[in-house]
Amino acid sequence: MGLRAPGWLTRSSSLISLGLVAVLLASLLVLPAAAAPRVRLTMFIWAGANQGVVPREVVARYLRSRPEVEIEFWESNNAVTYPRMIAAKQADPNRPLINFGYFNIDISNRGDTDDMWVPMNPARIPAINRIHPTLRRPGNRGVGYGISGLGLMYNKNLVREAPTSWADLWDPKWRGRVTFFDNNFIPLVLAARMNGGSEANIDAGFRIWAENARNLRALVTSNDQLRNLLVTGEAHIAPWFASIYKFWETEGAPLGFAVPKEGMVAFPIYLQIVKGSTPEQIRVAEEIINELLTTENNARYARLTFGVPSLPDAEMAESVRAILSPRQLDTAIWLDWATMGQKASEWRQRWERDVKSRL
Amino acid sequence: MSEHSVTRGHGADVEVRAVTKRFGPVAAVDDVSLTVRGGEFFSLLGPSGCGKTTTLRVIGGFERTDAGEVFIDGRPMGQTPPNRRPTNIVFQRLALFPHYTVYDNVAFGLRMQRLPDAEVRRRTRDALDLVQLPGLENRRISQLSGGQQQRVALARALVNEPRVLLLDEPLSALDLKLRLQMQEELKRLQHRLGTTFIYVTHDQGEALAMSDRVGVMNAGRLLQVGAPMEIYERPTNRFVANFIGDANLIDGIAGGVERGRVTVRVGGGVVGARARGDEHAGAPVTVCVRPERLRLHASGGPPGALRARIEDRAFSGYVIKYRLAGDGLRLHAAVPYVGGAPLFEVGDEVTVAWDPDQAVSVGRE
Amino acid sequence: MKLRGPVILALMAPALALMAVLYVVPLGVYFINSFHEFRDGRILPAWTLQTYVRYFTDPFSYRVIGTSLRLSFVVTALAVLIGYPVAYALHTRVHRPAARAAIALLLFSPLLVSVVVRTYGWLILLASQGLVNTTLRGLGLIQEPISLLFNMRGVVISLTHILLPFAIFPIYSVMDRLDLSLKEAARDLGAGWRETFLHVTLPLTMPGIVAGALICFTLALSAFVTPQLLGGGRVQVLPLAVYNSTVEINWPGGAVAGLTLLVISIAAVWALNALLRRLPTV
Repeated sequence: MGLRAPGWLTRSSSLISLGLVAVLLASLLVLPAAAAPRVRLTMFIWAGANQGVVPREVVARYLRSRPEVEIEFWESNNAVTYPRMIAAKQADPNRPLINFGYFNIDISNRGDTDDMWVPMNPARIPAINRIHPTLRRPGNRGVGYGISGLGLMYNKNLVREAPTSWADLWDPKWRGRVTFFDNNFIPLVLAARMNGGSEANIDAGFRIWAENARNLRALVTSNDQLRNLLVTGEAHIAPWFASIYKFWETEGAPLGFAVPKEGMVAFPIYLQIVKGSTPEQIRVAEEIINELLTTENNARYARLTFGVPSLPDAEMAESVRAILSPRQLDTAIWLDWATMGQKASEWRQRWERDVKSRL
Repeated sequence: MSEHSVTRGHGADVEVRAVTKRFGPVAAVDDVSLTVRGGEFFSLLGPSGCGKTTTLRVIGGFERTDAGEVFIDGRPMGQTPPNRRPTNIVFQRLALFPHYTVYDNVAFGLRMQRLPDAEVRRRTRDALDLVQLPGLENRRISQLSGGQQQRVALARALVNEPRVLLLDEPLSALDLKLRLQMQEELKRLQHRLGTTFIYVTHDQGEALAMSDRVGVMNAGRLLQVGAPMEIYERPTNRFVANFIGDANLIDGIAGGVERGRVTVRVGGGVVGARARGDEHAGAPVTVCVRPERLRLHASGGPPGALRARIEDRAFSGYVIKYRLAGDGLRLHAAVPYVGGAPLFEVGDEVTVAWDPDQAVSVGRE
Repeated sequence: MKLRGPVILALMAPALALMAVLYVVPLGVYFINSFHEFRDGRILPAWTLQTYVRYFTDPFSYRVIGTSLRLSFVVTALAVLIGYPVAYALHTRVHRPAARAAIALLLFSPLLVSVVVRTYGWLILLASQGLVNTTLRGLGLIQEPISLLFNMRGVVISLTHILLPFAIFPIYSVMDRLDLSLKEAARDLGAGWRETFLHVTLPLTMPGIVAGALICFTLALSAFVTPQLLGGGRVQVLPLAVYNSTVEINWPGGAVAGLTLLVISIAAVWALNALLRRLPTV
C-alpha cells in the first residue's frame, strides 16, 4: 500500500485535491478584494482592570460616524505582544500587527531602538502641547496618556510595620517574603542607584540582589500570580503599581500600599502609532487619539484605572489623590528607560545566572 | 509400582468429587465426579464449551470451585495454588515465555525450586533429550516451529517430574501429520514415565487412540467414563453414541425386555438391542448401531428385518459406505470390501438387520 | 478496499499541511535564526556561528540543561513507579468495562482541566498554609511547614500528577495484551506471586514501561507552564530559557536553546526506541 507517484495526477482523487487548492487560492484572492474600500485597524489595549472601558467607548462613538472604518481590539499585555510586533515587522514592515494603542514607558523606549513608532505631529494632535511636560516623548514618538507610580504593596494582615524604603526589598529582615515580576528590573536599578551605581553602572545592583536573592519567595509572571501570593501570605511585600493596588483594594483584597521615603517610581503610559500603517490608518488613529485626549476622557480613564491623567486640567479622583498625588509624582524617581531598554537583554542573562540561580 | 520409581510409577491418583464451577449464571462444570488412577492416561472429551478445560483448570488449581473438592493422592487440594500442587500443565496456547530461550523456559520450574545449578543443567538437558530437542537450548521461542514449541512446552512441564500432567488440547495447533506423530510420542512418554496424564481434547479419534480411559462431557456434565472400546461399544446415551464414531440412531417404541435384551418396534419392523436397564414396554427408546454392524441382504433376512433402498454408495478402500432410506429411516452402512464387484447398486431394495448384541439402547434424551 | 497512493495523499493532505505550517516552517525559521547574533537589543544580519559558540562555552547553559534533565528524569521515574502499580491494579482487579472507563476518565481528568487552572490548584494545595502542609502538621509528621512551592519539589509534584496517565496507559495496554496463561504457566511451574511478577509480568511489560517513560520524559522536558508558575523562578529549565529569549527578541539565543532541547528530545526518543526494539514483543 505504498505511495505511487507516477501517473497519480491522472487519477480522480487528485482532481479533488487540486479542486481544494483552487478554492483555497481563490478565497485568498477574493477576500481582500471585497474588503478593499474599508479601513481596518488593530488597536492595542491592556487586558483587565477597567483598561478597556474608555477606549472601547471612544472607538464605538467614532465608528458610528465613520462606517467605512473597522477597528479590532488586541487585548493583552505589552511584554507578550511586543515580540510579536517585532516578528510581524520583520516579516513585512508594511503590515504591522498593531496599528496603534497603549504602550508603557519600557516598550516605548524599546520601540525607539526598533524604529517602531510614527512621530506625531502636534499640528494634528494638539494635546501634545497641553500634557504634562514630563510626559512628552523625544521626537514626539508617542504622546503621554497617564502615569502611575510604583510603591510597595503589602499584605496588611501579616505585615505589622509597613515597609518604608525601597531598601526593604533586599533587606535581610524580609527574607523569603518578597515577590515581583521576573525580569522586572526596577528593583535592580533601585538597588544600584541606592548603592552608588546607576542604570549605566548596574554592578552594585546585581551584587546586592545576588547576596539577597533569598529575599525572594518567588518571581512571578502574571498579575494574578502576584496578587495570589500576597493575598495568601506566601509573600508579604511586592513593588507594584499604586493603580493596581487601588483596583485590588476596592475588590476587597487585604492589601496595603506604602510610598517609600525615596519616592515612588514614575511609570508613564503613552499612546503610540506603529510604523508601517497606511496614511488612512494613521489618519484614523490620530482622530481616535484626539478623542481619547479630551480632558473628559483622559480624566475618566484615570479615574477608572486609578492613575494620574496626563492633561493637567483633568480631574483626579479623591481616592487616587490620597496615594498618588501630583505632588508625589513631582518627587517621584524617574528611571533612565532608554538605557534600561538597551541593557535589558544583557541584564536578563545576568539576572538568570547571578540572581535566579541563587534563589 | 515402587520398583519402577526412578523412571515410572510415580503418577498420582486424582479424584474430582462433585465439583461445580459457575461463570455468572452458567455452570461451566456441573456436579462432575471422576476418578483417575495413578499412571493412567485419561482423556476428557467433548465439544468446545463442554467444561472439559475448566475441569482441567480446577484440577490444576487455576479455578476456584463453587462446590466440591479435588483430591490428589487422597489429599484434599482446597484452595492450594498451582505452584503448590504436584501437577503441571501444558496450555493450549503453550504459554512459553517469549523473553526466555528454550533452555531458560525449561529450566524455569527447577530454578523456582532453587535447585543447584548442576542439577538444573542436568535435568534440563535430560528433559530436552526426552522430547527430542537437543541442541536448541539457546534458541528464542519465536525461532522455533510449531512442533518444536510443542515439545518445549512439554519439556518445561515434565522437567519438574510432576505426578500429574495436565494437557489442554496441546496438539490442536499442529497439522495432521505432526499431530499423529506427537500423539504417538505422548503415548510413549506417558508409558515410559508412568505419570498420570489428564488430556483434554475435542478430537474423539485422538482420545480413543491415546487413552486408557475416556470421560465424555457435554454442557458441563460428565456423561460417561470408560475405556475407549467400552465407550464405543456401549454408549449409555444418545450424545455419547453420536459424538464417538459414526452411529445409526434409530427411534422406536420398546416392546419386551428380557435377559438384557430389548425388542424395539421401528416402522414396519421389530429390531433387538442390548437393554440399558431403564426401558419398559411402550416407552420410546433409541437404538444405536454402528454402520459396520449392519447386515444387508438382497432378499429375505431374519423376521422383523427393516426394508430399505440404496440411495448412495461411496467407495473408500477397505470399506464401501452405503446410504439407505426406508421405513421412515435414514441409515448408514459400512461393508468391508474384499475385492470383486460390489454387492449392491444404487436403487436396490434390501433388508437391513443386525445381531441384537451389536446394538445398544441409549434411551431417548 | 485497498487505498491508492493519491487517495492516501489526499487523506493525509490536511495533516501534512498542518505539520508544514505549524512545525516545519517554524523549525526552519529557528534554524535560520540560530545562525545570527543578538547584540545590544537587536539581531545582527550577518551570518555567524557566534551564538552557538557562546551558548556551548557558557557553563550556565549546562546548568540549565542539567536542571531540565534532572527534572525530566525524576518526574519520569516517579510517574512510572506510581503508574505501574495503578496499571497493575486496573489490569488485575477491575474487570467491568464501565468501572474501567470510569477509572480511565478519573486518571485522565487532570488533562481535561486547563494547565493554568490545574497549576493554581496546586498553588493552593502546596502553599505553606495549604492542605498538604496543614495535613502533615495535623498528623504530627512535621513541625514547620515544608517548602513545596516555588521550587523543584512543587514542579516535580505537579508534573508527575499531570504525566501520570501517560505512564499508566501504555503500561496498562501492554498488560492487557499479555497472555494471561503466561502468568498461570509461571504459577504452575512453582513461581509464587512475587517471582511471577519479577520473572514474567515485569519483563514482559517492559515495552509499556519504556513507552510510558518515553512519553513522560519528552513531555517533562518540554514542560513550560508548570515550571513557570510553580517554579517561582527557581526552576531554570530549557523551555523557560527559550521563552525568555523569545520575549526579549533574542531569537538567535532562543533558537540555539530550542534546537538543543529538540536534539535532547530526539536523542531520548532514539535511545528509548533502541531499547524498545531489543525487548521481546508479547
